[in-house]
Amino acid sequence: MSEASLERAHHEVLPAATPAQIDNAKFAMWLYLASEVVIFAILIAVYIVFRYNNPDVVHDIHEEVGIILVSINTFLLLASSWAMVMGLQQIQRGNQQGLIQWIGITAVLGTVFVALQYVEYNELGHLGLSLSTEFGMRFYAPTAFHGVHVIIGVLWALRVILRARKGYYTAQNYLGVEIFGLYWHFVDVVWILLFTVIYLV
Amino acid sequence: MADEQKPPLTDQKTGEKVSPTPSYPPGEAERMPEPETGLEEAVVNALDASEQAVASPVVQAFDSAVSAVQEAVDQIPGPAKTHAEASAEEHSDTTIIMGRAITVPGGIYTVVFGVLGVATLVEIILAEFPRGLLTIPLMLGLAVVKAVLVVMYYMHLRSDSRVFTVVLLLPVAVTLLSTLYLITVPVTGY
Repeated sequence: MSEASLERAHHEVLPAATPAQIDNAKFAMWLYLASEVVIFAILIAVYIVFRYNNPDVVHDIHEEVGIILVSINTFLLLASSWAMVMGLQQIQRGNQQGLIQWIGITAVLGTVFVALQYVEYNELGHLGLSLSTEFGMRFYAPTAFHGVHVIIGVLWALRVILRARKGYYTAQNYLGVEIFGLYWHFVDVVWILLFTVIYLV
Repeated sequence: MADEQKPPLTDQKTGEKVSPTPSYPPGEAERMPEPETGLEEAVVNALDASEQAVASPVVQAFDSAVSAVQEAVDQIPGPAKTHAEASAEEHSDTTIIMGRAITVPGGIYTVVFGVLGVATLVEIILAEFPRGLLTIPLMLGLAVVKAVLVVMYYMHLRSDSRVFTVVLLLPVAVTLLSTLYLITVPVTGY
């Protein structure tokens, strides 16, 4: 196929703007998230198999650690996801200031989440739950990997805010916000599962 | 390069015809400077090669296979809401749940947030109270419901392209099956 016919094919696709029309950047984000699913699923699976075979060990640790701190963190992350979609809604309505404020809230909540996770890790360290224990390595691997994702998400949120302040996003052009949203909500989904599987069950 | 006549350029959003910038002679936009360094030459060669590869049967076959998958996926019975309905709902502060119109700032997004919060509270209560046979399945079920809510409403999968749903579900299915298999493998003490 020559370049011209390729281009023509491209043009033929575009005018038929169906709702299901696939945006390349969004598609790329979903493919990336699919690869993340595999990584997180492996980490969670390793924990589940351990939990299944050693219910007593996990029960004792749960008794000792408690779930107040991590429950607060869960609500923070849920709220951050809500702030994220509220920001998206604002820019879809053309309100740049609203976008900046809501994404700002998202970034702050994400930062507090990471800070509380640091506090939690410190407490666990005092309890002697190190990375080299059988439970420790299966616990820290998924939660810390998730924490890194939150940190990256906060940095990304700051970038979205900076671009929004320069007037980059409009009611017609909000794809960048939407794609960041996909990432942030994915991190939230992973935490929803981690919270239940690791801390509650 | 193409010797065929190109179709008129159109604006991708409005579909209106756009005339090319008049000050350039035809072909100027595609003109490549002569490669000077080895790297530039390699890039030009790679571009040439990829242009030729586009015409190869393998690439053509792959291209039509991808299109066929996309079309097949889009044939799967439609979502509860169409894209237009869903985006109207997502733009509005009013949402209809079980026949009742609810107006809160954020509309459906805020309602979903409320459900997520309540479900989390229920999970925590379940975890703290004495456990029965159903406690763990209930907690896991609630977690899955929460995750699905976020994916459908916040990540817009209920109205977005089906291809994204397939992209997400494929690894989920494979890893879920693998995990179930792993649980059944007895610990032998390695």
